[in-house]
Amino acid sequence: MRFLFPILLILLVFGLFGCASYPNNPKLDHYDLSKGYRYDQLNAQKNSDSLFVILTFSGGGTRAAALSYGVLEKLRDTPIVWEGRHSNLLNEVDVISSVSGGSFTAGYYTAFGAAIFKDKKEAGFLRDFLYRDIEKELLTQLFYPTNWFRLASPYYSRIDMATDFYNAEIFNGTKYDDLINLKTKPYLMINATDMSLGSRFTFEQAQFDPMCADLGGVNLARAVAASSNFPVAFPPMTMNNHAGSCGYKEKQPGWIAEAEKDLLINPSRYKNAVLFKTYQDGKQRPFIHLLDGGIADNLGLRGPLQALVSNDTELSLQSKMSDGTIKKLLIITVDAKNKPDLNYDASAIPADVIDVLKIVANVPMDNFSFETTETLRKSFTELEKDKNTYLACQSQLQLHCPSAVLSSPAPNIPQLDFIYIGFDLLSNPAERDKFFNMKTSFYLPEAQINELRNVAKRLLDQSEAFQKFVSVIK
Amino acid sequence: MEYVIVNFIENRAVMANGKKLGQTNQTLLIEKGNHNFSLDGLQNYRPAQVMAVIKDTTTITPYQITFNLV
Repeated sequence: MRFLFPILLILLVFGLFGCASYPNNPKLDHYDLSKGYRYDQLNAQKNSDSLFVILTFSGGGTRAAALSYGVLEKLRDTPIVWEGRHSNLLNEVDVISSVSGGSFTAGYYTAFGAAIFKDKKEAGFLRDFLYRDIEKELLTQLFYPTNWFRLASPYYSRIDMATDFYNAEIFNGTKYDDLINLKTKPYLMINATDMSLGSRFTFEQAQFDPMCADLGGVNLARAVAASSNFPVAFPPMTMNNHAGSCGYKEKQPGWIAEAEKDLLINPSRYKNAVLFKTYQDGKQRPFIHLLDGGIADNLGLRGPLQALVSNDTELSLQSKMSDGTIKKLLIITVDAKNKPDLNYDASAIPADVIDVLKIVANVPMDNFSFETTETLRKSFTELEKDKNTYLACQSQLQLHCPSAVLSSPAPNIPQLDFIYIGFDLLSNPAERDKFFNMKTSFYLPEAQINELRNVAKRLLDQSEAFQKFVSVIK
Repeated sequence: MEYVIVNFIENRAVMANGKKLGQTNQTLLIEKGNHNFSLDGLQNYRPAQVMAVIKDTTTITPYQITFNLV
């Protein structure tokens, strides 16, 4: 009899914690474009749309978080005068799109603003994340008996445990509802990867609408955890798809039906429509599984790129350019990628399974990132060329036929600037290699973090494009 | 990138696929492909909407759409 009580107690504890589950993202009552976490709902601003600044923060664990943090520090310390108002460049940031390690910096700055710069002796980002051995603490979590019981549940995994840790220890329970209530920029685009589609899944209400899910009730920590959900280290994160319960299908955005006709004329637009529609199918996809955002786009640049070339996305730069709202558009991409390891080629013995998995996870990601930056550069070049073609025609017409005018007005194409910040810009090979060889993890020694913060500032100082941009708005 | 002008006697918001694209009588940027154009505000114009395939345009030769006041 005296053994029965402990056994019953253990069974009870297992029974209770065995029912542990990931948090169910809440249902959306009604699909409503005037509510939810959307760029156009952020209207309590001092910063204008006329100077439109987008930051993108790559993946790369603490290395990426520290490099992007250094960029924030540099922008804070860059004074500007825009439309007669004295400010700094950081205050003019409109959008931050991030992936994985970069999502910690992006999420914290969006939620807590200048508090991100608190000294590392105080509670804040530096003490609670950047200079902390997160990796060790996550491992320690595995040894807590309460977590054994919770992890026994098939509905609660290591990524949910990490989410709970980030939520309590870094993001203080912040939900997207808190960001909605703040109504301040920057607009945060935290990117994960839809495991089944291999495509970008952005934590914004427009992505949650077809799932009839309310992003407002989701913890910011959950978005950050999904974004940094490195395959194998963590299992996929599960989101509930409530599609069909909020009237979205009846009022779905008009671009979807039009883009479905574009298979031959614009295949990428067609593909976007086809992928997006899968979220409306709550029967076939009652659950959505998310992995690290780096698998689909390790720079966080694809979302802003799509907003630049399309009016289909809820945040459209096209319409803001066309109506003359945006006068200057600056995109800064912070890329903390490391170097491909060529040591495997020094031996005839092939790499083992773990190494092959690492290569398969990283090398295509880097190649894709290169393609993404090239696509953005080409888009900017094309727009500049279009603007110049118009101006050249106008000037020729004035020269040879002064009384004639062009039948169409000039398009509003703003000044476009793209700044890439990455270790490959460092001219000293030894220094470059030092940064390239910093490991990808959620812990780096203090000295390395300091070096990363400093090199970010130096790379911006050395960037001709950055100096040119700043010189005209000083 | 493609270009379109929506001609109308008044200054109105141009809707492409139900979403604001820009203003009438301006050269507007748009993605290549099928689009459904209409005007925001009063429905005092014809046709009620224009479906068009936008491709091969330039800033000098944008696709032209005209709505008439009724």
